[in-house]
Amino acid sequence: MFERFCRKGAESVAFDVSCVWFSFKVAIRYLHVTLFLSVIPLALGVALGTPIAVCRKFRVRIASQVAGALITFLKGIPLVLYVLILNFMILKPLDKLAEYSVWADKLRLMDKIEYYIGIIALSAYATVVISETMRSALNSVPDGQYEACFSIGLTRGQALRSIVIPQALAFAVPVLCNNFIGLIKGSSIVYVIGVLDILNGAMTSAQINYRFLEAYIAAALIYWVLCISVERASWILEKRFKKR
Amino acid sequence: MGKLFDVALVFEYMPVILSRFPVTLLIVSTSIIGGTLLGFLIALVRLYRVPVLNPAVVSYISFIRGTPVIIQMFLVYYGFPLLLLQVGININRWDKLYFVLISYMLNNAAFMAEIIRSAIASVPAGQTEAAHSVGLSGFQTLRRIVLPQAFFTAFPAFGTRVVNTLESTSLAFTLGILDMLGQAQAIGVRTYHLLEGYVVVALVFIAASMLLEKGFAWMERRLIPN
Repeated sequence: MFERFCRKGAESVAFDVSCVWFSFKVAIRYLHVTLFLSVIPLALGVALGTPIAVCRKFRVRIASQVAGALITFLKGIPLVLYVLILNFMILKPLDKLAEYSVWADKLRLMDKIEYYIGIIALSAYATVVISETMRSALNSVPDGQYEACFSIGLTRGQALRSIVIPQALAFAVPVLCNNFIGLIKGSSIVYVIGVLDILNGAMTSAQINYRFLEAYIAAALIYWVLCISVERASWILEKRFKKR
Repeated sequence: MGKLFDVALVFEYMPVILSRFPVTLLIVSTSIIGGTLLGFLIALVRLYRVPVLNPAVVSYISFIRGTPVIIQMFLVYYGFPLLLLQVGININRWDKLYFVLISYMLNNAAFMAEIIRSAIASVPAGQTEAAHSVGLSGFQTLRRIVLPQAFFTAFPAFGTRVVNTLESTSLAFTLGILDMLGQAQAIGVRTYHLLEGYVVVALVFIAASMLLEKGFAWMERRLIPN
């Protein structure tokens, strides 16, 4: 009985702190889901966004125009639409393919498929956001730095690696940390497609005892602590990069 | 169900979904106006380090910046009626839209407070001292010397915030508000054509955010010398 309900006769109390603690214990079990949903998109976003930014900075033919046009468009789409549209575009074709192939049928009924869709959607969103971060970081390094590099005979790759990127990083790191915080908060949106993350985990506890306010407070506390820790880490990193 | 994606339906749904655009505009405009006013007060509390209020305001800003908007929205939805019931006001029958407006306003107040505070702090102290030395009062200094200069610093960040708010209002449908996304889902439930509705919503958001960005860039060029 005590396992399922926070307190006997809790229905009579308007607000019950013990229910917050109960929801907290349930929600914290899904901490790793939220972390995966924000760390993997962050890593993929940096890995895919940086080349896009470099392409646009050096005006690589065709690629830079395509990337520029795409990103100006994709930038305007809210994250929740990425999640909903990709969820639809991945699941519906699989439903149709399932009539013809066995693996498509297996794939659509796969355990945690919505979790992978969430990661894909968040990664797509992160790529767009981070490519813009990287672009402004590259633009923050004055052109004179390149000219100086070329004048002493460095190639473009050498100039980027040893002169420009270290300077751009000092600009990019605090912004990337901000993007990371945005992704942690944004990852809660995957609850619309039913991924069991911190928010949805807290909700499962509320479905047992109808303590929704307490459950939301518990979830909010976890997100708050997560974001504050990333912010603190960002300050430490920033100091380290400024010292150089 | 028929085809996965039917372009004709995009045009068919466009007017229906566009008719819900005013809801989005309402949320954005009220939350920006209310948020700026409230944010200004919060910024003053922080700048003048008002005792008792200052630490409360600091943790308020940290909380708003550290938690997702969806959670804030539901906290307001479930928490506000309970809070007001303590002082004897029953708002259980309020329309859901009011809760959305309040939560976005509270959300923006925290962000606006930070924008306004850092803008005012960026005005050199010498300006205030100079104003005092020619005999301006504290309020006069703020209104005539500090705020006009702070305005130019705050303006670009303000523009970014408005665009961000526009995007985040897309979450209002999770509370059951019939905005553009809510309408698209209502159509989807009826016709099994979800994707077309989503595409319409995405197009409207792209157009609106581009317009806003261009508009703010234009105003920035016009307003700010150099």
